[in-house]
Amino acid sequence: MADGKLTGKVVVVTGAGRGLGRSMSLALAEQGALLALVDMDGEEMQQVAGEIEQISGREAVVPLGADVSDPDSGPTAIHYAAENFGRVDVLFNNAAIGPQAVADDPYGSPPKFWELNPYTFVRMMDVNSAGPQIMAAAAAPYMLQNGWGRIVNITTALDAMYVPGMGAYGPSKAALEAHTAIMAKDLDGTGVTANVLIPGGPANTRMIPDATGIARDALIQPEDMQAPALWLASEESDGHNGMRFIAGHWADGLKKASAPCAWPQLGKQAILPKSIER
Amino acid sequence: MADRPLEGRTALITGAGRGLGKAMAEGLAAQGANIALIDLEEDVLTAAVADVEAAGGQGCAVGISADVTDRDRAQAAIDKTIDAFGEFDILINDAAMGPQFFTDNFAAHQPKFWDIDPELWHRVLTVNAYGPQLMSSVAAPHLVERGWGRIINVTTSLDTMYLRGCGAYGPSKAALEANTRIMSQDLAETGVTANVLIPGGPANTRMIPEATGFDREELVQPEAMRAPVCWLCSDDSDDINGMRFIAALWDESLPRSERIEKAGGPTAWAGSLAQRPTGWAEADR
Repeated sequence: MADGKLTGKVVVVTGAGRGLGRSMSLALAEQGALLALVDMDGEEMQQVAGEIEQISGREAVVPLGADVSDPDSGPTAIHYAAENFGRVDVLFNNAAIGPQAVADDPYGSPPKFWELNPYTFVRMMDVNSAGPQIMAAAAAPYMLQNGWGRIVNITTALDAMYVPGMGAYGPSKAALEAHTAIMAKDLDGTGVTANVLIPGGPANTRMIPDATGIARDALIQPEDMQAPALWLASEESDGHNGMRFIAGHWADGLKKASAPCAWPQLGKQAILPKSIER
Repeated sequence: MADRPLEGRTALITGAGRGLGKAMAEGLAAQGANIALIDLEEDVLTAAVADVEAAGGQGCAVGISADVTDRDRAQAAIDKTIDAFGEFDILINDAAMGPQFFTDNFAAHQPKFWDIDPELWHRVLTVNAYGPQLMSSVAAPHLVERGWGRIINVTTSLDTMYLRGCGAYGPSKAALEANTRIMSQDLAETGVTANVLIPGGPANTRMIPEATGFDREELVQPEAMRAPVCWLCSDDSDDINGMRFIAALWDESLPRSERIEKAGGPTAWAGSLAQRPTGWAEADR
């Protein structure tokens, strides 16, 4: 068993089979966390599970095939993780369907909104917005039991939420961003927190297909997610709730790498009757 | 004719059976537009059609029962609108499931996210975010071909998008807000525009149940939507695309530019820009 600052913490990572999810999972395992990997793609996830076994042993990882947007199999993965490891401390809602589902080169030849396949649009909303809600709703009670926990939602840069040509990708992440702010308020004072973690720009994952022609080393690397993910999963981040953290700015210090969730800074807030206080 | 500047225009309004949708339908009809009212409930539609005809004249309105998340019925609604009036120019995506589905009093009782029925959360997301996408995607090719058109999405105040206790209501509107900005970019130079219109605060509709105890007079009244929606549907707003307008701040007495300045702004949120690799195509963000 690997020893580190996360020894004994049970962490669920969705979309753990590759990209950001894989990278965060490996780093968490290095620090002694017990990993429940969730993914649709069994083969990719088994590989990551194998890598983690090398780091921290057979007992430190369990791969769980599940669809996070399925109200049956998603929560079942959480309950299984809790049964297997005895607790759930941290949930990384990382699984998402990216722009690559809409077009091979969403930057060069972006499809118009009226050209999108309705099924793909719905599926992206389901996996990227409803999925994290389903998983968090199942995981939160375990965390509340212990008076400590983390929900970390992976969204995207604020301006990437309305880039054309990517179908529901941006809108679905806008919904998750707003929902994270709601989760944080619901969890206020419980010891459990909800925050957003983003790369801060396009990352070197399959979400940016080679057809885009963007140099892979000019992208944010999945490894950049590791340091903020470790910090968020640890007690060092106690008290930070309802924030968004930007991996691409992590080296510049917490202040530069963080902002409140969503868009409270914008002004033009709702005009409320005197009888309402928010 | 002078006081019916929207004569010859046809608007399809979802969720037109009551509340903001009906108020906008009456306002547009009064200015001469033909209205196809879309709603789920037949009896509500029948009553609303009568009210809209009272505002705009006999024969200016038809009621079409449809679910905005059903692809065949969405297409059929647009076909029926064209059958009834010969054309259609304006789509107003107003239909939505409000906070009242999650709590009868969101001011006092705010269910936690882990206590919410997942099916309901999902349904609200689908109706409020996917419904407008579906209706718009069916409508847009027709509007683009004609070279003039309007898509108007009703979202909510930016801070209501993350108001707790309302389930998926806020998040679904955040998705629609972002999607409106995408629509507006996709529609650039086509003669069709996509904009957001919001009341600007809780409105006097069934979305704010009586149990909240709010003074109904203090809420934004549905009628406040009429003047800005009529302007957005007129030729005077031809150059307005990708904006959001707050009905409660709309002041017809101001000159055009001041009126837009006071009630308008860009859709979505201006935030810190994403880091971009060199050679990254500068999309119009």
